[in-house]
Amino acid sequence: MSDPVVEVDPSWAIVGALLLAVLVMIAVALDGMLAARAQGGSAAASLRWPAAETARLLRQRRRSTVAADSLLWRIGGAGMLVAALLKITVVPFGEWTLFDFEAGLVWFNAMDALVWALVWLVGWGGNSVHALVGGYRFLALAVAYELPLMFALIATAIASESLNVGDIVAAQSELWFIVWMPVAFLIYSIGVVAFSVWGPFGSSLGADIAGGVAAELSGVDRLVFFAGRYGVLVAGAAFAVPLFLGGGSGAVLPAWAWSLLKTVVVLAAFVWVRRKVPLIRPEKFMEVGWMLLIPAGMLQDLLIALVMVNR
Amino acid sequence: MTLIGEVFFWVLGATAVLSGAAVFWVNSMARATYALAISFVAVGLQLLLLDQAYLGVITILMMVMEMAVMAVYMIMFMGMNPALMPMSMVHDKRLSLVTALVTFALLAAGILLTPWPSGRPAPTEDVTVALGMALMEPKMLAMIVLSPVMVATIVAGVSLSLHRGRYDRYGDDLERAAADDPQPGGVGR
Amino acid sequence: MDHTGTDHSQMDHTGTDHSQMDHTGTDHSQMDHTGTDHSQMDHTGTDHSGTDHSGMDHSGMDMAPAGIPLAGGAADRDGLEMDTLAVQLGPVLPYWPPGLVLHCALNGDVITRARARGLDDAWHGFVEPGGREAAARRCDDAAALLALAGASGLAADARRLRGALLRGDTAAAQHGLDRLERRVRRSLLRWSLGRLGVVEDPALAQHLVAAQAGSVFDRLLAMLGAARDANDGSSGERRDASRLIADLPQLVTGLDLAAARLVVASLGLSSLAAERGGHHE
Repeated sequence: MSDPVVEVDPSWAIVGALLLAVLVMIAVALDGMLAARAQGGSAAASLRWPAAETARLLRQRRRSTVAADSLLWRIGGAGMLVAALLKITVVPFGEWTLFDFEAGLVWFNAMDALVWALVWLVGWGGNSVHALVGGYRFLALAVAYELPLMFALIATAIASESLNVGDIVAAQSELWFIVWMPVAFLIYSIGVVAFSVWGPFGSSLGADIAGGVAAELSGVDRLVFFAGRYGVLVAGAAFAVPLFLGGGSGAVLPAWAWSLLKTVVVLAAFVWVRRKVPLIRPEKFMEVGWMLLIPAGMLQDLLIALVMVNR
Repeated sequence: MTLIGEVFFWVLGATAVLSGAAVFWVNSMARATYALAISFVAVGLQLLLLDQAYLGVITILMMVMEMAVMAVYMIMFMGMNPALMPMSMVHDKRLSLVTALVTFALLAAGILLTPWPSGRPAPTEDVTVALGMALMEPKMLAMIVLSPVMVATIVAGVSLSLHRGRYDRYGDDLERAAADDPQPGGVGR
Repeated sequence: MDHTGTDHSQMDHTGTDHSQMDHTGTDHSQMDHTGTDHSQMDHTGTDHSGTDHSGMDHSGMDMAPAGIPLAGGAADRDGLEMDTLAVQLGPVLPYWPPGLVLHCALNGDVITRARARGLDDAWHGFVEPGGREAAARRCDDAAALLALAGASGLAADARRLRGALLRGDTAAAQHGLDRLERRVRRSLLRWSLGRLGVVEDPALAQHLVAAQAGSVFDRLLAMLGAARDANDGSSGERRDASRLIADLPQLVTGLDLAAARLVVASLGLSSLAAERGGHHE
């Protein structure tokens, strides 16, 4: 079997980062359009909004708070973008990948564990009650979503007998994983939306605590934090493609086009969910995660393991 | 390992030691905890350089999660609760110094006295499996028995230390239909 | 340090183990006690004499960095001792009844003690007339609660209905209210807001919107129902905000901030404040 993905020169990382930026812009614009539709604003204005907001935040003076822990604050704020960039290194784009790593699946998982620390650090750094409460909320949520997410990731590893993302894509040449492990895909999607502090899992950025962890962020700090937060959402959507949707496989179009197309579709679904599901507070989700999602994930893994053993 | 790899390895080693020491230099619980996290991440990256891909990444994953949770514990539940404030990370200096030096001497002696294999054997095909075999093979049964015992200990410990058990939630005869919780959970059991 | 006249009722250090504490070298001169809220801290009964100074060296510890006094500790709702912050919510916050002030002791994000007051003491009972404006205010209340619950689409709908009511488009509003209520009933809000902030006391319930006891979710539906009735001109009710404010601490103690905000928003205090303003003019 030839290698399903080829590792490209590291200088292509710049293209990868640009691709991430474009997808982030698409996500922001789409969210803006959905908001405009819900609230009766103008869709054209919402398309201009990402660029306008970027320009505004770049020019805004950076505010600080009394006795802020600036070092940890900056690490947390910038870290989300770094985590998103590190995540996409193992995501194949068609047949190319930046980092053909033997434990790519665990690498992705380790990068979303970084988000635990980063969101909390942003909440801590500003020395503000509301931001810190946001940080606490995120960790409470993280304890509930991370284990189910791990079981969902493991499902793909069992079925492909590898932790390498390229091998996982190759194992789907006959049947996409989403078809015979829908529960794992569902849990994975919940995990991605949750670690992106997005939509129903956005209570750490809630309106009830003045914007939560981002309450005291301003200027370029705010821009980088929110770019990174959209970045991890995009990375999560992009990683769903090699994991569950057969990677770049598809008719007529080249592999990279299929990767991009599938990523945009998954991303659009994640963005759309935001306005459809109310906030899921950590104390509500804790029981769901531990009493429903973990057993469901384990059963899914067991089923796949039985199939793999008996074939 | 290439020359660049070796340089990286030593830089990461120094980072791990220095950020480990920073745990005691800094003056806030959050910084101390995350200094320790950086130390662990550096060790995880060193493992990656030793071709232990899985072990390296899993070290980073586990330790970052662990430190994120530990920071909250350190800040919320510190004995006298000044943990939201700047504070010294060093307590009882003399005894700690002696303990640290003795531990260091013991571990260093252990490293020096271990009969390490001589020469440079060719790397095996799958280093993770090889390492697992070397570490675990003679003790596999003990390890397999240990893990359920550990899980059982955790479960027992948690149920013994529970502030509110099921009799508080459902009444002395477990007769309540819905649990009496400060805030209801999402499954409604 | 002069603690005379401060309110020490909230925190009790008696029985706390201070033997580990070393106050040598701490700088108390930086602590500015004027005007700070000491309701959290009670040093009465604490015995600092004869404490063992060998255990812990806090010489690097500043009791009030940047002029912010030390966070205290107190038992949280599980009985564990935890950091405590004195936090004031209101009088002005988004989706918050204007003029309501809630002084909270926060352990982490859980309210362990609370004291509520209206900025204006004259905030008490009156008759709420029916009519379009009352209906619009109900929609405002519902929009705030929906926004806090993270149902941004439904909140936008409620705000649009408010606009329709104020424009006098009553027929459309009536239809919209029915539709919004159906969508709320079908949504996950029943799961996220039901069983939360349950009011069982009938004496208190009669001051709630449409005298509706039950959970936050029940009160959300009551708001939409009351908006419809007010729009019909069929209702007018007598509610006493001061009674609700008096019982507020009991309702929010033991809840985390998110749940407490939802409970406060579900009481429909905002519309009472607006009504009162209207009456005085």
